[in-house]
Amino acid sequence: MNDQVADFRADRTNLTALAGLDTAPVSLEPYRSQDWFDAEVRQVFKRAWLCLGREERIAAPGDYFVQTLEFARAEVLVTRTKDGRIRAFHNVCSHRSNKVVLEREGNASRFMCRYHNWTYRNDGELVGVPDQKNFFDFDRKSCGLTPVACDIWEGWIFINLQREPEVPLAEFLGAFGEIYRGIPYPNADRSILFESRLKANWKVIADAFAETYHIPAIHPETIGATFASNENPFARPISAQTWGPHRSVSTYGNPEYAPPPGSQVERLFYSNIATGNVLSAASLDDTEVFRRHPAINPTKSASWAVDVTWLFPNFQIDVSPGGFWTHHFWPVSQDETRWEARFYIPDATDVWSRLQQEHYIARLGEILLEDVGNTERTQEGIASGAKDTMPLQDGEVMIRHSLHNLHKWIEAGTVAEALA
Amino acid sequence: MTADRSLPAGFEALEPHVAYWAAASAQQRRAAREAASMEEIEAFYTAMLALAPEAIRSLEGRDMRDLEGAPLRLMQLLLALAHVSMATELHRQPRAPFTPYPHEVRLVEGPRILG
Repeated sequence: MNDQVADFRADRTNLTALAGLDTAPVSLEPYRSQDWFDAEVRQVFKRAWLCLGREERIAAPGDYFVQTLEFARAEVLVTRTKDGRIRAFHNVCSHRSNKVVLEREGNASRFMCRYHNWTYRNDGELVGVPDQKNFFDFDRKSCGLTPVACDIWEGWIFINLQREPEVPLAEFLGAFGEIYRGIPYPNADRSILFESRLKANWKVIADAFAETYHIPAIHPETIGATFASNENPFARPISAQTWGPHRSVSTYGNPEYAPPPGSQVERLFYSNIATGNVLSAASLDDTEVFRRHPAINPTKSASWAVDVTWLFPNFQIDVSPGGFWTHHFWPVSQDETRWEARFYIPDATDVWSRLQQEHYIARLGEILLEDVGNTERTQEGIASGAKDTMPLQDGEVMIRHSLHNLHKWIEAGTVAEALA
Repeated sequence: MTADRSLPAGFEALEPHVAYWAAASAQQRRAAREAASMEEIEAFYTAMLALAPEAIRSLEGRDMRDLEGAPLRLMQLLLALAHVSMATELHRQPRAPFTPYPHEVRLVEGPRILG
């Protein structure tokens, strides 16, 4: 592990050097080259373990969901079988390769392909073939759904598109997987989802959520005053850490923030609820759960806002005093991305908590639009070819670390080599 | 419930706002605010904010899962106030500056209760 703490009050921070990264401007080719994108799909997305979200999403036996992976032209069916195990399969019938499950999620112990009524159990076994006698030397047992490698870490579902993954999930996660054990995820079984297809490379979107340098500029009204202050006017991070290809920054929050006098609705809706943070969807009890864990807010700063943890390659977990949320950046093509932002929030059953929650959701919508509204313009700028490189400052260390590791994986012949 | 009395007694002044602002889902409330002019937003904001403390009091003790009819519509108006406040209290214009509109950033799964 690489532990980096910087004093944001100093003249300059040194997170990049402490992470062992060089400081030169980085190439823009990874954001606009078709060859680079093809290599990323082949060497990264089809070899790395990819997180698909929380296991609570399919809590009961029979629950399932279908995840589209545009970059692989694949759909993965994730099921919970009656023995409680989570399994993943290609959503492709063994007969003529039609898609078996057409719904996005639900509960079913069996799935029937609509083409010729072939029927599969949710553990993948083929259990029904109409007029089976008329096939030739037919072996039903070998005609189940094609499994996709699947494993669970701390309640997070991961898949791997290698038929036999070169490294197990635990090895892929490495030290990160040890340090982040035992974090309780409040409200993991209920969430809200913002989604958009954006005309930008997936890294342009991921980068937008990986640094706080942009906050005073892009979010002056929505969260500018909560992430920056007179003592930290440029929203510099508190600390950064890297573990192999994974990385995290702990971001600064203004401990003095209070809704301004003109924000009458914000003041009214939050007036009856004690929270540690105005951007919060949760209670002080949930906040305490996070504050006690050594991996969360690792410097135990009193000015802590959010830990942004970026699991290689395309998944971010954000933990704040008010709860947790995730970002998935799914590459569709070299310049198109499907982005999913899922926020885990409690059921609000009384008028006060429900109004606070709606204010939180309304503000989230504004913040997210400010973030991703910028990305398509950025992609156009990159694609214009006006620039060959971009300079990255110290607070943008996660972007540099991401590119460094993508390079490494693209060049590495084996996953073990990429992780070394 | 007749159309001219769709809200609980005491909130008649809000009747003109029900048709547009009492929307069923968080995404619909968000979309309504994004599509409204600043004039429409301010008219609703002013009227709703004045009665908001009283409206909240009238809903205290109620389980949000069981609301229907007039109290449900009143709650939907309160929820819409959260959205219009983005325009009046943060941006001072209908939508966030420099953001695209229309756009495809959608709340595709809302909260289970009144979402």
